[in-house]
Amino acid sequence: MKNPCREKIYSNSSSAQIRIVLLLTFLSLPAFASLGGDLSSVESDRMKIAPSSTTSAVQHDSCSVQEITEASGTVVREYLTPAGRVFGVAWQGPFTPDMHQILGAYFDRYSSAANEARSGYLGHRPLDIREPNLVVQSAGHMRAFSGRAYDPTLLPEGVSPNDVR
Amino acid sequence: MMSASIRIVRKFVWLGFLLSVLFLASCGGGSSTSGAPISITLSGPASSISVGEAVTIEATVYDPNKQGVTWTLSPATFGTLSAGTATAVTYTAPAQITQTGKATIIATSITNPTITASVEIIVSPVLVSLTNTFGLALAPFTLNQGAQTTMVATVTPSGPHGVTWSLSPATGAGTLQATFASQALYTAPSTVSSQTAVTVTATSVDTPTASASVTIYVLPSGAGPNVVPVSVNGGQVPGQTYANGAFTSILICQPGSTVACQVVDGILVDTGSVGLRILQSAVPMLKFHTITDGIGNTLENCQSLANGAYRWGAVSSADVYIGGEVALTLPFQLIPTADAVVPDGCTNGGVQNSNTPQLLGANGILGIGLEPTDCTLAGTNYCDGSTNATLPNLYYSCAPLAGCATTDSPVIATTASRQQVTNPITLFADNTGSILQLPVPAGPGATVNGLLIFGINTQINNLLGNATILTLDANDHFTTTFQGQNLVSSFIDSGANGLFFPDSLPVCTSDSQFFCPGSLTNLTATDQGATQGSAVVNFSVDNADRLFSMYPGGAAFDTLAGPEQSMPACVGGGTSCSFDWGLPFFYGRSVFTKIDACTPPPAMCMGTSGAWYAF
Repeated sequence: MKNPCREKIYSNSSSAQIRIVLLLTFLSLPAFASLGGDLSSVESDRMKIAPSSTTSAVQHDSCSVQEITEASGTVVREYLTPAGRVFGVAWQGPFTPDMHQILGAYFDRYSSAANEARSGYLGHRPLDIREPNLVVQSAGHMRAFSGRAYDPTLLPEGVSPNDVR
Repeated sequence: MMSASIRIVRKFVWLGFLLSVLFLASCGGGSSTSGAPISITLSGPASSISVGEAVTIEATVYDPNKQGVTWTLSPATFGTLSAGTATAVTYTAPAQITQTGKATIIATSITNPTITASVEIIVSPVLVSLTNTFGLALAPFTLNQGAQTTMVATVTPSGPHGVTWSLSPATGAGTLQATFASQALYTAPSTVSSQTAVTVTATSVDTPTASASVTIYVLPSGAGPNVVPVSVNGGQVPGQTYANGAFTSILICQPGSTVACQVVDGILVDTGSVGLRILQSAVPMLKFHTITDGIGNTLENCQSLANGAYRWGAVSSADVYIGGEVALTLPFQLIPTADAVVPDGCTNGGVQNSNTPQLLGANGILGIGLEPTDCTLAGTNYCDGSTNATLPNLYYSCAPLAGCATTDSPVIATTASRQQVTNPITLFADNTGSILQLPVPAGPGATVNGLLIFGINTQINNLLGNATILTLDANDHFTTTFQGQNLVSSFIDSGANGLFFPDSLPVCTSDSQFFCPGSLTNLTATDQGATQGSAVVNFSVDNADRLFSMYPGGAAFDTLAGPEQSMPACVGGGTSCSFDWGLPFFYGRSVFTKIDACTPPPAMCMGTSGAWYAF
């Protein structure tokens, strides 16, 4: 399976990009945009921290991806449209990511859908939310969590939901 | 000692009794012609009685109209009032109750009904308890065929005639022989062909409605102090069914006590998490020592789940007995029923706290996964300050009365000070891991009785034998290959109530958390250990809606499955891709969960971490 976003970052990763990620991590400031948010918020944070560096996200025809390692060790990957809007987020690591941060304006819908999912059959299982404007799939167990969230209506042309991973 | 404390209680209640009398003036406008105050004073011989006992309450009424009182009881059905006159009534306690209750008897002035006085009477049940010869209460246990055990019955308050013993079923259950001083010797049948449940009951002769029972599981072989029964029985929460949950019972005691103890049933066995988590409401009479820091703050623990739910409660200490194993001063999470202010870092998902039996689906969770504490992964402890990483959202320090603030940040919790919620098995005599053994359900919805065996390669009954070991990577994962996908973050998890994996099967319209294929679908996957071990696993997926509607209230469903990501997102791999082998995987298998610790013998320490699965 070809993943346009993933491919691009591997081929274009630069030391500047790595440096920015490290700086963002160390300073523990809001290090990335939320789902539906745009790159300007990332850029705004970045400018406060490292004004002389270049843009961290690598642009591609259809999408780009930036990977941030949260201080707790959980890796969060943000998928951006060519215009710089975040259309998907994926995560993996020993601790649940900050869902408020990564879902932004989508958080309330996530929260109510998650509560609703819980009101179904009793028991513990992964979360699978499939709404027209929000898909969230979150799985794992203690010390090993993974998941992804995306807005199907924001997917750039030529990008499949499967690329958000 | 005991009688002294009862006396103190009675004095205390007697004081409350006097204070409860209300002197209310009828401040004009009442029916009193003289305008003088009406008063009612109540008295009675006892304020704490046993079931079935009767007491007479008398009212001394000052009323210029020479009227008396009428009597009412609250709750109205908790016992009866009889022989009521204008100045006296007889209260008879209920014949039997399961726990201590309180009756309030209210006297209301006939002249002025706004003037009342009341008295509270505590009614204690006659309780029978069953213990072993060491005085520890008995939870269900295992015994080999032909073996014997002695049980002791205690009636409180004790009557003159002790107990009678009985055994069920009527045939094939072995023998039970009353010996002396309320003891009985049970002898298991000399041969059983398979696991056989027998129930021993002791009944108070003086109060025949009071009894206590324990279920003994007689095995052809392999029973022992390190073996406890588990049951996939739908759980213990009235009115709701927990499908594919393996439940067991534990005995939990206040640290250092063998008397301040309670058997708690309905404890979910979870090999996918670490640590014991108990609802405070399930152990209402027990008081546990909470872990505090130097300035008296309470250490609170947060468990956040992938589905957005969380569990919040104080790190507390208890002596926990499971079968013949004991974890003394075990740090565990005690989940309060009252809603507390929980830091945002814990409520992350915004989903409701799981702090009632209905929300948790259990009275507690027995987390016996791969790690020694809830904050360790493959040798790294993320909460004790030993790594540079920012502390994760597990431990918070909160003022004992004010509680936490939503803005609070996580704090350090160390294992040296027994502050981290700990895998109980690591404190057992058989501390290397566990084996969960469940037979194949007789059919959809059947109840399944199995065994939880503590230790791996520590006893003759927990040997690895020829089971296949799957070693794990640095994230405690192995790889499942399935339908062309490399699911590199796969794991085995008895706490998940289905098999969860990426597939193109349709999800149910009623609940997208489960698959609803048109017909039973047979599938095959291969589990591959990180450095060794490979096993082909065949499984089937049925329509979850059909299962739940055809077998309402059913317990075990070996074909229950649901989506974890959506196919074909994981064809190219991806670290977030996993196969969650939940409880259906355990049916028909003995699944070994080895805890990460490179303890001798060296052969037990394999792979990147010392943790592994085998089956």
